[in-house]
Parts: sequence; C-alpha cells; structure tokens
Amino acid sequence: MYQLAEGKQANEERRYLGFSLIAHTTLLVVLSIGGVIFPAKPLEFKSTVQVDLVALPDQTKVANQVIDPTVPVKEIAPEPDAAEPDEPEDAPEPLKKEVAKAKPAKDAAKEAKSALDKLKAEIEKERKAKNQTLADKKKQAAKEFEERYRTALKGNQTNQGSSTDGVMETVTNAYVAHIAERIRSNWSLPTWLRQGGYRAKVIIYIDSRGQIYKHLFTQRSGNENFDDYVLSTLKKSSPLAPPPAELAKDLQRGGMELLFPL
Amino acid sequence: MKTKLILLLAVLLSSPFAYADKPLISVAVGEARVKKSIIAFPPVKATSDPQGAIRQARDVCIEDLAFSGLFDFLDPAAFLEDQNKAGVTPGSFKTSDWSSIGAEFVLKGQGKATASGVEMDMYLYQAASGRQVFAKKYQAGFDAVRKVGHTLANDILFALTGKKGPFTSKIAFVSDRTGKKELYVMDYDGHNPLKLTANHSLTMSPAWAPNGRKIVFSSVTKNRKNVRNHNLYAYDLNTGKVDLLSNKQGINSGAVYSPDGDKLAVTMSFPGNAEIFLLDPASKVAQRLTNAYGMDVDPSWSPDGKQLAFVSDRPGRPMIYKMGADGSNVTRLTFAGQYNATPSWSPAGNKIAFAGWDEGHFDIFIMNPDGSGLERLTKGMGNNEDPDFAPDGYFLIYSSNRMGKKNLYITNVDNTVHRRITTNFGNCESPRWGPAN
Repeated sequence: MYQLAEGKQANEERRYLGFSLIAHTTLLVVLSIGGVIFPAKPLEFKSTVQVDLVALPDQTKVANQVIDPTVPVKEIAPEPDAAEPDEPEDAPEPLKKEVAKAKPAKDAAKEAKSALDKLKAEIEKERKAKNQTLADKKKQAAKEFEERYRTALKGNQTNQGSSTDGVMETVTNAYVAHIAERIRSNWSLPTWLRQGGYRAKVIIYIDSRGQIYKHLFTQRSGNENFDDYVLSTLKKSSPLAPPPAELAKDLQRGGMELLFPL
Repeated sequence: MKTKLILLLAVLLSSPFAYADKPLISVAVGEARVKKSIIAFPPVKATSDPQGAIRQARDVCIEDLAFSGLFDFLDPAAFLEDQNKAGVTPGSFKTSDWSSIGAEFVLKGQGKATASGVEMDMYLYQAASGRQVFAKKYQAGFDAVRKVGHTLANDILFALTGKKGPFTSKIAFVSDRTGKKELYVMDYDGHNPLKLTANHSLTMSPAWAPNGRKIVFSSVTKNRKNVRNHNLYAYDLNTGKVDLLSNKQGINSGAVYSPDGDKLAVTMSFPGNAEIFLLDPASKVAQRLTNAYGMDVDPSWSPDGKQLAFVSDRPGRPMIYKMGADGSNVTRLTFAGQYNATPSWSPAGNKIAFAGWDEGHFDIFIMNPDGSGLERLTKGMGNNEDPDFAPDGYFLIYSSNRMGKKNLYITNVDNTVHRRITTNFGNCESPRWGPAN
C-alpha cells in the first residue's frame, strides 16, 4: 500500500517536472521568435544637445549680442577692498616691543614662544577671515555674472548636454562620431539624383582593423544609381579607424546601420 | 525522456534565432553634397571612319551632356586603359581602370562608317560596380550624324535621370540677316539653320504646334484692298505650305497653340483695342476672352490648358496677369517694375518666365504661377527679352543685345548655365523652343 502511494507520488513529480520543462521551452521559443519577428529598433545616434527653451529671446541689446564661444570669458573678480589691503602671508609684523624687553634666557624664551604662537594664531585667524570674505565676494560676483547673462540670453544658448542614459559611453560616442564624419565627408550625389528624394539603409560590419568587410542593404532606394553611390561612399570611407575594444565585437557581429540620408 | 529534453533545449539555444545579431547603433548620414557626375567617354572604336562622322557624333554628345550642367567628362590624358586591347562589351574590359581614375560612369562604343552612313553600338556602365546602365545601336545617314550625337545624349540623360533631354529639339526664331525679318528654324544648339519664309516683310511672334509639325507666325502683308496688316499664318513644316489663319483688321499676332493643339490664343485689335481671343484654326472662328480698357497681349498657356498668362496694361503699366482658359478669374501676378512683358509658362507648370524693365534694361525673371518666388536670371548684360522654356522646363532661351546685335542665349532655371547659340546671323529675336522629338 505504502509502495503504491510512493509510486503515485513519483509519477506526479515527473509530471510536474515535464510540465515545467514544456512551459519553459515554450517561453524560450516565444521570446526567441518574437525577437526576430518584432526586432528591436537599433539605437539611433544623435548628438544630444540641450536647448534652454524657457522663453523666447528678450528684446534687449544684450540678448541680441552674439557670444563667440572661442573667446575666453573673463572672470569678474571683486574689487580689492581699499580699507583692507592684502598683506603678504609670510611676513608677520616684527615684534619690536617684546624683543626690546628681553628677559632672562629660559623664561624669556618661553614667553617669547608663547607670545609668538598667540600672534601667529591671531594672524592665521585674520587671514582665514579675509580669505572667507574674498571667497564669498568671488562667489557672489560669479553668481551675479551667471544670473546676468543667463537672464539676457535665455533661449539663445545651447550646451553639449550629456548622454541621456548609460548605454552611450564616451568611447562609443567618439567612435560613432568618427564614422559619421568619415561617411559624410565622402557622401555626395549628382544633382539629378539628389532631387529624387531617395532613401536607403545599409548595415556595415567593421572588423578590428576598421575595414568595412561586409555590408547589407536593409532598405534599397529603388534607384540603382542611388544605391551605387551609397556603395561607392562606403568604399571610399573604408578603412575607418579601428574600433575601440568595447565596441569591436558588437560592430563585427551586429554591425552599424547607416541611413542615407536620414 | 530526459535526454530528449536536453537535446531540444540545446537545439533551441543554438538556433540562429537565439543569436540573431542586430545593429548596435543607427546613424543618419544626412543630405549629400551636390556635384556633377563624372563620365569617361573614350573614343568610339571605329573600323572605318574616313570622314570622321563617328568622332563628330561623339563630340556632339559630349557637348550636349556638358551643356546640361549635370556632367563633367574626364580628360583623356588621365585614361589608364589600353584601348587597343580593351573591349566595349560587358566583361571585355576592367571597370576598375575607370573607377580608379575617378570616373563614375563609362561610355564606350564601337562603330563603322558605311557607304550610306554610320553605325554605332553604345554602352553605358556604372564604373564602380561595372553594372550596364544602357546599351543601344544607332544608324543614320551622313546628313544626320549630329542628330545621332544629340539622340545619344538624350538617351543617356534619360537612362540616368529619367528626364527627356531637349537635345534633338528645334528652335524657331526671327532674324533680319537678309535685311528683312524672316522666320527660321535651327537645332537647339544653333546648328542647321533653315529659312522658312521669304515674305520680304516684317515677320514676328512664331509659335510651335504641340506636335511640332506647324509653326504659326505673324507677318505684315497686304490685304485685298492693298492695305498692310498684321496677319496670322501657319507654316506646315512637312509640306512647306503657308495657310492664312486670320487677317482681321489690325493686329493678329502673338498666337500660341493650346497644349492639345486644337485652339490658338491670339491677340487681335479689330475691336479697337488689343484683346486676347481664342481662335479655332480649322473654322477660323474667334471667341473673345478679355475685355478691358487697356491692351491685353502675349498669351501663354499653362501646360494643362486650363489657364493663360498674359500682359495687360490695365493698371497703367504693363504687368503679368493670368486667367482661366474661358477668360474668368483674372488675377494680377506682378506688381514690381515698370514694364513686364512676354510671359512664358513652363511646360513643367511650376514657373512663369517674363522680361521685366529694370534699371534701364529688360532682364529675364522667373516666378511661381501665383506670382511669388520672383527670381532674376540676367543682370547688367544689355537687354534680355522674349524668354521661352525648353520642353523639359529646365532650360530657357531668350534674345539679348549684350554684344551689340541681338543674339539668342540659353540659360536654366538654376541660373548655372549661360550659352550663346547664334553668331553672325543678323539680329535674332522671338525664339520659341519646339517640342521634344
């Protein structure tokens, strides 16, 4: 009786195990095939640019000035305080009185040391206070400068921004920018083709030496001449710079998709 | 059972689906820079060409394609190929010999001159890939060698751009080289001029029938009562016969065929004031389209035949107007300048060209059919008048006295091409570009 129950339990375990295996296998198949049928859109490389769109440019003269980014911005330091001229840090005032009233050797030396330490501490305190004031003033001036120009130029300035997420590392960005620049510099069309509004997509595969060793049209333009000019551009652009180690494997296997023109 | 499951898992994991690689990054390359296509056109291999006819056909083709502003030809001094050994048919030469010197297309041919004319087999290849773009055989008598070159140029232009070239079309114009203004036709490049009339009179305003078989024109001739009048005629290019279409009192001039060739829009002044009429060339019945205090002249059809551009001085100065083909919806298009005249509606339908008086001279302008997008094509080069579009809507012909006498010049809507096509032919004016053929 006991053996019969044990056998039944073993059968049930096998059944559950079989069911679990089938369920996992089905899930794996669905995920694998789903990825092929609905491929994820590859990341589109675009330089991220942050534009301040708080308001339209103010109708002020400053707002209309064009800031030349190549000209270094002069730092606005606070005016030196006439009442408190800076003193050289390493030149404390000589202690004439104490030196004049010199006492016997041991005590005198002890007192002199104590007085000197006291003075040093006072001077140090004074110096720190001065530095703090100077730093505060500097900070205040920088803040005022920032506010002044920010206010005047809102909506008129851009900055490079930063990666939007962790996928695009600096190395990747730099290499992709190199490829884009290289392809663009060789990308030209005759007038009669440019007016046609043709578009093509090509995946290029880059080996560790930077050679485009394979290409694959994922979308042809419908005009053989246009497609020939695309291929000619790739030919002229190869070899590219060798890809960084972080990317080499991916570029060799997955490649990079190029959109001609957009 | 267990072994089977393990096998199944192994197969699934090693399947191409599981490891299907996708591109990591997608980059938009952006708009391409614009340039001319570079063609290498080595001499056509001729087994016999004593009169140089094959060479002439090649030269004409090069001239046409270079004139289009779309192509540049490689200097033969740069050619690497040994042309005695290399062939012209697919696979009989190395395309790398051409792509390596910067050629984008290679045009090759072979031919011979026979007793009756020339025969040429021409091939166009994409240099980098070696792909054959076009191949065609040409045969013609010695009197049509230039036409072979023009036809080859048209065919290459069409094979690459899908647009019909104007290189075999003709130009009708008026010249006073005999002392009287007579009607002539010539090739688009100024070759083969042919005098059509000998009226010893004042001939003006020619216009082509859409099928290219007739040219209407006006001439000052005597009527039955021995009175000189501006009468309207049609010249049949096949028969040389001239038909009188209208001799109503006063002006019968500036006629233009409708795109279907059934009607003529023409200026007539028999009511006492120059107005635009629709004339049926078969029945000679005229139907009045305009009715204004000022004069209405120089009609030009839109390519769909639904509208007409014309000149009217109803605002006090001659300006360009347009109206429906039944005279309705009259709309003023130009407001600038002192005197705007001779509108010509592009066969592409997207532009109207006209001559405008500015700074003491007439110059050529183009604009959109609604009057916007006004652009100047000539400046500071004498008087430039009578623009007329080529059948492709890209080139325009006009007359100019920039060198003293009036000569005919060709430009394009991009204003990148300027070419004089008449020389020492008296004063040439009223050019009209014939249909593509």
